[in-house]
Order: sequence, then structure tokens, then C-alpha cells
Amino acid sequence: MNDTLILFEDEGYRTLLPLVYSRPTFELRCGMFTLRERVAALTGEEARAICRPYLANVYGAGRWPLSLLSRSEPIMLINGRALDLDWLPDLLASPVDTIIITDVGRGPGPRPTLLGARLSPALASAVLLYLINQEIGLALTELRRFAKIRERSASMVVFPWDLVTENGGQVIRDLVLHKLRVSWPTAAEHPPQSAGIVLSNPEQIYIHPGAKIEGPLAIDARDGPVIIDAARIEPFSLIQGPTYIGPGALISSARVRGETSIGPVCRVGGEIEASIIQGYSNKHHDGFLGHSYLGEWVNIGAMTTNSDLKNTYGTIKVSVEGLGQIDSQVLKLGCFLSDHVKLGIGLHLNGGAMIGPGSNIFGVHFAPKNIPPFTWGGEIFREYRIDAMIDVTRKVMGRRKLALTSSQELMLREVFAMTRGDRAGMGEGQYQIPADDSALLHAENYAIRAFDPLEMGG
Amino acid sequence: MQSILKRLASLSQLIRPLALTFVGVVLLSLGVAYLTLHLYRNGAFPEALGVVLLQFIPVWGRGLLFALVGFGILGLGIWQLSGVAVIPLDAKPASGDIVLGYEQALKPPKIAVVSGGAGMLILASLGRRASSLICITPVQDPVEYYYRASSLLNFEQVVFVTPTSHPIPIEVELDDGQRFDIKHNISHDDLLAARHVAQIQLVGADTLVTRLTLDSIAKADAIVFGPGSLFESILPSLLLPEVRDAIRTSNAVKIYICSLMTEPGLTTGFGVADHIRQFATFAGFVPDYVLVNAQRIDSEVRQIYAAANQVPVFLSPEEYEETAVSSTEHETTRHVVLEGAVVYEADLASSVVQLTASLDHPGESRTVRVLRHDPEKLAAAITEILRRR
Repeated sequence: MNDTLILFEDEGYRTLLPLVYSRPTFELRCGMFTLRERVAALTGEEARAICRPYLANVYGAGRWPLSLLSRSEPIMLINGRALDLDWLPDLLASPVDTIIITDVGRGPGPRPTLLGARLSPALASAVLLYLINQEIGLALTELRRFAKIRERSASMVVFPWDLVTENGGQVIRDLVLHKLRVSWPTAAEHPPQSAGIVLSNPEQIYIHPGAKIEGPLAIDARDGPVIIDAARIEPFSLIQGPTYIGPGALISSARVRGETSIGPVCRVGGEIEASIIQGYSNKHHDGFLGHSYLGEWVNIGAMTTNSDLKNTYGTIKVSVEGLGQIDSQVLKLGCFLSDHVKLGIGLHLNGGAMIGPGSNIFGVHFAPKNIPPFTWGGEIFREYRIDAMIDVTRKVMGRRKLALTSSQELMLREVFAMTRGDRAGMGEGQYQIPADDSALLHAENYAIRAFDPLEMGG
Repeated sequence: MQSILKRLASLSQLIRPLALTFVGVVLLSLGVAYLTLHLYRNGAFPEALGVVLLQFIPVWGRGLLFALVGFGILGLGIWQLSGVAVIPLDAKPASGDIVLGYEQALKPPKIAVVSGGAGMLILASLGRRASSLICITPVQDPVEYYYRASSLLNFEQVVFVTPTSHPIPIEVELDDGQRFDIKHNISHDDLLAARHVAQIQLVGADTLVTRLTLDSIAKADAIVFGPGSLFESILPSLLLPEVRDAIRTSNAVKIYICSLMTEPGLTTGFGVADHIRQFATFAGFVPDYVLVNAQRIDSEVRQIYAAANQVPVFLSPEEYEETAVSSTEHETTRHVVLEGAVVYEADLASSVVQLTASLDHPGESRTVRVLRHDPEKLAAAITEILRRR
């Protein structure tokens, strides 16, 4: 029998908010995979998970995950913020009661932190409660008393921009894992049959047999591999590597520049560069998305564009929960849109913009840099009524033949409740009508269009 | 809104008396009003009194004012009343729901349980009434057995933790000098049925105790020993010096749930006092309370157990050591004290029909009536003890 693989969240989830309000850290995409997918690609086993209680029914093993320790085989713990898993095979081969710690040298959490552990059920029982409560500092203190300790360097996600900066390299590293499980022909071995397809370095272009590639278009893998799952690439597209395009994605005559990951069932148009789209999101029209992260079920209206470089060529500051403005030390950085964010047409977003989950923003030229979760509006912001947001989410998911489960709905409602303080001071109830007549007309027009985000921006 | 409705729903028992009171107050007010009206019409009032009686306001205005103020005061009274726990005077104190309902309005307790086997799983159902329930499993048991069983039972707020990072063998010496590993299945060896344990000890070197074990004991409002086998499930963990010290220094109330039946080869011939004495002998302390089953066991069940060399563990009058009197703000109660522990007798058990099969003949199963600690009754008794402290 194999080890029981368990992903866990540590205290570090806080610096990844608001992206992880509605998903655990191990469900953030970076490279080809989320961490859960990466573990499955490496081990061939589905990992189970311990995460914050309100997320546990959707992403974990339930609110009180007692079943995780029900087997006699060793328990393999994997930190949900881990990126590359080159240390995991060593740990799997280690004696029981071995832990790996790492010091990433950044972030406010305990250092070094627990990267992974291979434990007996008995020792795992001694730290289960700490894991459930994301008190990994306490768990580590306890494990140090009983387990053999190995220290090594490893890459971990500490701040949201790490996803963006690590994405290109991670696509390359994930390709190695991907090839362990799946054998897709390269474009050199099996070139696409459509006319007018220009391939650069076809040995590094991997195309799923079910993918539909319609020329004329260009795929350039000179700077890194291009991996195209069972997606559809429409004519006049340009795809540069390293890039991953997930199953069911539609690339609509888009320019997809390097270091980009597009998750499953996304629709992408315009120009996108060095960005991650988690999955099930639309950026179907013209407009630039650069060095950004988009969660699931995000919709971006036509001509909405983000900045990813200051005119001063200075590093970009980002607001991090609990820490305030942090200098990312990164020159090129775009926006971070959490799950279920909807943006209207023609919005401009600053570099480092951070929008919380469930927000619906429209009718404004420049969106504010930080927008709390479940915010509605543009010129005037107010709280997005959760019932209306859930209603919209049902419609949006229904268009992709998916249903919002009761667990997902409950989770969104809990996020709404726990972030209410972030929206303090915003108007509640009916839309607040500005005094100016033209502003009134302006806001009403956008409100009518934005209420059904699928109609926004065409 | 839900919490407001929930609070007001607690008044459901008071609807009838409140309605009667309301009618009485209305009639009384009418009487006073008629008398006042009579005095108004027939008597002469000083002018100052007229101001006090609001005579400068029209009659309809005065009526409206009094009605509004009265309505407000009535609402305030009902709201304050809904925050008071009311127990009918004819209710039995330990009858469960009422006491539990009262207790649930308070902060749920933190409970540590030292037990093992099926008894641990019985008590784990307390989790939904506790803010945390840490079950400390016997040092010799694999903890995954408990997780496997509990995952089928949808426990909440429950964590099972081993006191040590690896199992430690336990050796017992019987009263005839024979020595066995505690896993020898002594209870099922007919040749040992008449014996009882005289000595118990850990086998192996000293070992570290897990922090969660010690923290759960230190922070607990109650430490519950049992239900479960005294020598197989409870005492093994108490042989660890760190665990013993933590229990001794903890401010938690220590409750021992005494076995329903003696165990052949382990506690044969033991009464309640003998069970308590084992704590003093091997753990160096006695529990504050001992829960003893007082339910009458019918003869059919008794015979089944007798065939397996087991007899009920009841409190015998000869064992009474002294009677203690404890008083709270509202009541004074008398208790039996045995070996320094207050004995709490209550109906704690239920007979259940159990399907059994042997490993030798797994296809041949049979049903037997067995006596088990009842989780609800245990929860009520433990909650009652916590309430009284």
C-alpha cells in the first residue's frame, strides 16, 4: 500500500489573500498544474487535503477530516505553498518520521517552515489538530522533538506575485512531470495538419491529439516549450513559449506571449503575457493582460487593460493582507483578480491591483488599486448582495454545463460574511444614486449591462 | 435574525404562564383604570397632581403614550426573560435535555478523555457538546484504529492522539504471579478468569509525551477516564510520569466512568472502591468524581455476562466511606465519598443487541444482548457534574 498523501495549508495563506479566500493555497495554478495536480502527476496518486474549515467541504476532506488518519500506512504531508516537488521523491523514500524544513527567506510566517513530512499515524495524530488550525509553527515544534530533520532549499509561494514570477520556469519543470504520465507527440513528430501554421522549434511544442489548431497561426517555442492540451486555437493566433494551454480552452486569435498558463475551459483573446488564468475564465476580447493572475470564473470585458510597468520603471507595490503595501521588488507586475471577479468594458487597472473574490466592477475608467471582496460598482462602490452574486454565479457556471453545488454556495456565503469588515463604510441596499444627472444615466446604463456579466463587453 | 428567533424560542415553555400573566395584568389595569376614572369624575385633585398625571395632554394622547411605553416595557421584559434559563421545578436535575439545553447556552467545555476501545468511541460523541474533545488513546494501541472507526461515525470536534510517538508494550502481573502482555487477550482466557491484575508497568525506556496530550490535559475543563477497560485502556496512559503529573496539576474536574461489568482475569472480584484504588496505586491520584451505573440489570443480561465470568460493578453499601455535603447557590446535595472520590450514581447504561462473529467462523454470526454505556446518558451525567461545579 502507498502512503496517504495529504496537502496542508500553513499560516502563510494569509499573505496570499485575497486570492485564497475562496480556494486553498494548493489549488493555485502555477506552471501547468496546481499543487494537487502536480502531486498526482508525480506520484500517480490523488492527494487528500486539510485546509481552512470553511473551504474543507469543497477542497478538503471535510470540516473534521478524521478519515485522513484511518490507514496504517505512513502519512505524507505536503505544504500547500510548495512549488516544485523535486524533494518529494526523496521524502517518499525516507524512513518514517522524517521531516523536511526550508527557509525561503521571505514572508512573515515562522522560519524555517515545514515543507513536507513522512510520519507514522501515531506522530501524525500528535499534530493533526495543529494542521486543522493552520498552526504549522506548533506542529513543527512538536515534530522537531520526535522526527529526523532534513533542511533543504525549495521554492514556495509566499506572495501573490510569486505565482507570476515563477510561472515560466514552473511550466518548464512541470513538463518533465507531465511527460512521466502522458505521451503527446511533439509538433516535429506529428505536425498540425492545418495550412499556414508556422512552427519555431517544433521539438518543444507538445500538442494533445484532440487539440484543434486552425491556421494561419504561429507557435514559437524558441524560448521555452509550448504545451497545448485538448484546446482549440483559432486562426491568427500567436503563441510563444514557455506556455501551457489547458483542456477545453479557446484561443481566439490571441497573442499569447511567453510564461503564460491558461487553465481549463478559458476563452482568451487580445494580448496576454506572462500571466496565469486559473480556469473557467474569460478574457475573450481585445485588451492587454500582462504579468497577472486571474482566478476561476473571472470575466473581463472588451478593451479592459492592465498596466504592468511603471513609467518610472520602478518596482511595483502591492497591498498584502495584514502587511499593508509591500514592495514586490518586481519591475513588471500586473493585476490579481480573485475568483468570480467580473470586470466591465474599457476598464484600466494599475500594476499591482488586487480585487477580492466576487467583485463586480464597471463604469469607471481607472479601477481602484485595491477592491474588497464582494464589491459592486464603479464610481460608487457598495456591497454586492450575496444572493445576487450567487444568482449570477449559477448563470455563469450553467453556461459551462456546471452547477454551483450547495457546498460551493455555502463557502462563498462564508467568505462574504468573513470579509464584511473589509467593506465597512460602503453603502448597503439599493444603488446609491449620484446627484448629477449625467452620472445617474451613466451608472444606470452600466448597472443594467453589468448585472448580467455574460453580456458585458459582448 | 436567526439568533434573535432562537433566543425567543427558548420561551416556548413559558407561553402559557406568560399569557395568563398578561391577561391578569390587563384585567388589573382595567380595574385600576375604572377606579381612577371614578375618582377623576367624583373627586377634586390638586393642580400639581394633574401635571403629574399628564392631564395637560388630551385623553387619547395619554392613552397612546401609556400604551407605547407599556408596549416597550413589555418587549424589554420578554427579551430579558428569554435570556434566563428556566427549569421546571418538577424536572429531575439529571434528566438530560433541560440541563443540556441550559449547559449549551454556556461556553462549551474543553474535555480530555483517557480511554480506549469501544468506550472511547462512545464518549467521542460528546464532541458536539464540547469546544474541543481530545481523546488520548492507550499507549499500546495503533491510533489509526480509532480514526478508522470514527470516520464512519461523523464525529466533530474530536481528535485522537497517542501519548507517545510510537506504541509501547504494557505488561501486567496477575495476582498469582503470571505475567502477560496486555494484548494477550487475558479476558478471553478461561484459565485466567478468576484472576485479577496485581501490577501493571510499561515495557521499555522512558519516552517523550506528545505536546497535544499534555496541552489537552492542562487546558481541559474536564478529564474523563473511561468508559473502557481499566487495565487495557485507562491506566496504561497514566503510567507515563509526564501524563500523571499533568493530570495532577490540572485544574480540570477528573471524572472516572466506572466499568459496568468486571473483566475476567483483569478485575475479577473488584467493586467500585477497588477500581478507584487502582488509580491511587498506579497513577498517584484519585478522580474527583466516579460515575457508577445504578440501572437495574435484567436477569437475562446478567446471565449472559455470568456465563462469561462477569458480574456487574455496583456500589455496595458496605463500601460507603463517608457522606459529603456540597452546596451551591440553589441547592444542597449529599454524596457518597469512596476512596476520596465523590460517587455519582445514575442510569448510565443501555442494553443493546450486538451481532458477533468469530474469526474462526466468520460466516456464522449470532446476536447477543449486551450492556453498554449509553452516550446520551453519559453526556448528561458529565454535563451535570460540570454544571454543579
